[in-house]
Amino acid sequence: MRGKGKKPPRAAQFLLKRLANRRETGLILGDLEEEFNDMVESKGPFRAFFWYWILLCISTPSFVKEHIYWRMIMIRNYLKIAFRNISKHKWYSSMNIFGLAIGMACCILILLFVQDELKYDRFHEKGDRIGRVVTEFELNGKKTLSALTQAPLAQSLQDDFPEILEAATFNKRGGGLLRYIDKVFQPRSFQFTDPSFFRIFSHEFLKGDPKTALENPHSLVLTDDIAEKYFGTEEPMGKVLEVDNGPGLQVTGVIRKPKNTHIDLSHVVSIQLYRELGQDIDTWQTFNYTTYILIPEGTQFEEMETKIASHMDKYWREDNNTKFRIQPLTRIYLHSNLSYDVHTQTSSILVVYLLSMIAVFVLIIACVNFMNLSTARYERRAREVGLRKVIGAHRRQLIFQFIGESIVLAGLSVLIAAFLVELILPSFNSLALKELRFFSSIGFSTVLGLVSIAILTGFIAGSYPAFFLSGFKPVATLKGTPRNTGKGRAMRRFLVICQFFVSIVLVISTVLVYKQLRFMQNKNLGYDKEHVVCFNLNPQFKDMYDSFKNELLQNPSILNVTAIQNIPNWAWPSYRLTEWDGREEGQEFSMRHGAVEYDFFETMKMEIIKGRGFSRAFPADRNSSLIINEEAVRQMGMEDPIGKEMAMIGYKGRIIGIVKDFHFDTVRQTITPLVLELAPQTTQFMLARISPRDIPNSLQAIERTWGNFVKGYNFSFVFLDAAIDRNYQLEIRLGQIVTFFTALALFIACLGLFGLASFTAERRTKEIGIRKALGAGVSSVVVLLSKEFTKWVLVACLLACPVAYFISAKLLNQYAYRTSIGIFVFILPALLSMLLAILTVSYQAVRAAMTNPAKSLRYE
Amino acid sequence: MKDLNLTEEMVLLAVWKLKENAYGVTIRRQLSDSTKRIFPYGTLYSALDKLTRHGYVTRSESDPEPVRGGRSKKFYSITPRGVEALRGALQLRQSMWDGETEAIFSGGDG
Repeated sequence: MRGKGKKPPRAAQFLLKRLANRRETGLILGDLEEEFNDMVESKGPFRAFFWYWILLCISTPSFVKEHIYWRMIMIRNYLKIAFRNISKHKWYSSMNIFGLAIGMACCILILLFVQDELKYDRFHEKGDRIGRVVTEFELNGKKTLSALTQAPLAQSLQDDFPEILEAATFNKRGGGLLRYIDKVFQPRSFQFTDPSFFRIFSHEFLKGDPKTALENPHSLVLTDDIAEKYFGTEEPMGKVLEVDNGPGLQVTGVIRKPKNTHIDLSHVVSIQLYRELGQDIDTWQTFNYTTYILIPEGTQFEEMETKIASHMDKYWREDNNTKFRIQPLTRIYLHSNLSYDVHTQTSSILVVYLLSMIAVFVLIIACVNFMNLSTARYERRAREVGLRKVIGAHRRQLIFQFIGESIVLAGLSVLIAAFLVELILPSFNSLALKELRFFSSIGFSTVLGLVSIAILTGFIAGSYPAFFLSGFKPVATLKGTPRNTGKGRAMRRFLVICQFFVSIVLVISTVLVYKQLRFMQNKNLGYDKEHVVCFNLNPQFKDMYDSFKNELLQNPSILNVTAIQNIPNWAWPSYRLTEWDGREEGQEFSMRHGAVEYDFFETMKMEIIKGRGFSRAFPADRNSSLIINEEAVRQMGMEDPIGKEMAMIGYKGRIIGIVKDFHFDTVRQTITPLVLELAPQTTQFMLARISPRDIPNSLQAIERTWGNFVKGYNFSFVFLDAAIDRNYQLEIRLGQIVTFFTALALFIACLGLFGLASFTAERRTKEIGIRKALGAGVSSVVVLLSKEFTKWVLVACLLACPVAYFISAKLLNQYAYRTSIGIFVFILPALLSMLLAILTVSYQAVRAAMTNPAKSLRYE
Repeated sequence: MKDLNLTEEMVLLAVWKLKENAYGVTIRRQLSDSTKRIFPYGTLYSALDKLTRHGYVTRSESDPEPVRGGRSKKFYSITPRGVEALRGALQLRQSMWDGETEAIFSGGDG
């Protein structure tokens, strides 16, 4: 068979061309074609085809090996050049690396933080089947979701719904003292719950059995840190601690203090104890408890929700427009926006979003910095690029080289960043109230994360410079023609504006957060929280309250004394009104409730705007007088409340006065209707207003009186304003964190500007020399150099303001009482950044302007 | 002078044997026949490259030929240095074997 004129298979040829080393491609193809033709003659075209392919396949491995070998050689060259460049310009390189490192360190810190926040409540084995039952009720026309439910709900759910495997009631109350032999402890709070609590949630029991720990109404489960504090190295199990106005509690379990959980545990006791302490936990009328449920595998929360929605109708028929909803456990910590979420600690998903945004911003600034510094000094690489192109490098190879260089720089930055993070971590932890770990918990995923950050950043930050640098025309660069491309400058200007834009937005946001915080802390609360001493009412003198009070008042620096059930800003219970004058059929109303002693309004300096306060002159006050606040009047629509009657569960009274609205909740929430009754038997805390002069003396006086009445318990107190400020921890923390990162962002931006300015100054050395020689003064040169940069920063300011306004409006929306977004908030940061920018640039400008013209004109 | 590895030695030997007619196709055929295996082009040209770099062979070009699809041949010829290298390689091998070349085929250990 004659096959003359047949060609070798095209596909194979194509592959060969791509695989083989460029130099030899022609040779190999030629050889193969020759052999192919021989084959066609001797053995026929089919065998020739076949044989061609076989030869190709066999040759491939060594082609690939050659390829890699040459690649390695090129990479070695690139690395050598990269390191040479870095050491040749140590100043710029280190600024570049350092700036990038700071940006990365920020990112890593925030990543750690966010990771921690997202981890909350994930350690429970049955976590995806745990939910919290919440109430949705129409409070006077508005639909509100409240985190609080009734005490008997848990048991009734378990009884009536077989799908609900477990249910637990939970309540947290402060107050009370614990005594062990001769030591007295003042727990921040007690957590009251059912035995099923530990069957729902997975807490690690170091001692004791989770199944039976709370069976006994007098059991007490402590967290390990508390157990150690109370008993040291002694065995805690079985020990009995006395509660001041109740029975002795026996320690039946010690659990490891849970981290990353929305329920803060320290002293867990049985809810039956609550009953013993005088609270009615069988009523459906008091919404003061949190209810958790456990549903079986495969059941959805939604279907469970529809089932229990109208569950309350069975037990309390009067309540028609209240429904139950279920909130999955995993959404509680971050996504909860419920009212009265008082038994838990929650953060906001907004914080996570905000910080992530900041992380991205800071990284952007750092990358932009990098880009700018790399492209500004392009001249030093121009000849290299030209030469490489002349030798035969393709643009693609050059891009590969420059991106590779960036990745190397980014790699160095990441290493430095890692050390920076580890260094800063302790202070950041105290700032953010977290216990983040970095080096100590480093794992494969952490290392992988760091490497990917390095590669990603290097790639992104290096892409623009790579494209820019590789685009040089060889002839122009080798000739030495200075290029001052309009495009290059425009890009740099854009980048600087971006940097400052982002920084200014951050600064404005920070200023706003602080402003809001200030506002909240200083807001008129409707009472005077300063110089008020607050301490526990000890049962030893509770019956002798009046004598105690009188003895205190003997001291002239103690101005007034009263008592209260719950400190403002702590959870004040809410009760349903069962009846009031002027109530329409089916109308629902709830009010917050506070029990106080005589002289409450005087001590707190609250204003009674109508009627009167509780007074000893009217003995009926003790049993049937009520005082409500303005908001209550407004919402109930009462025309003339004084004298009208109101009834709640187990209580009926007549309104004798209206108090001016005051904040018994945090400033974050609007003031809701409130009713106050004179109920000394339920008060738990004493409040004593002392004179601002000579505070230590007043405190001592109180302590002495305490000592006269109380045996065995130490006097301990808090100042009311400190206790209240503890509520604003979230905002304080947020403010500090945001400030921290904003300062860094600004720092990086200035760093970039610094580098850029110095480069520009250097480039215009000759021009400056000429100007000076012609008689220009230092100041005019400085102005000349700074003008351009200042303009850029100004533009950035202008752009930043509307964006910052938008963001701040969104942020502030959360707060019921917010500060005004004044003009000041925008002007101050803008001025500040402009000032910084000018300072940064002028340093270089002044330095350049001061150089001897003779020296600079010699520059050739 | 560096030692040749086996592939390089084989290729160099083939070039030497082929005298003036040593180019891709002929060298490969020679090697394939001698070793009774398919000798890939990739290995061949890597080795030739290395040998050229060390100075054991030189290259010269011919005219384009239609049978090669219009491409030229490159002829390789051994240099004196290359001959030296071959000699050295053979001597090294002989001194290693030390006359025992028969014994390896008559079986048995030792």
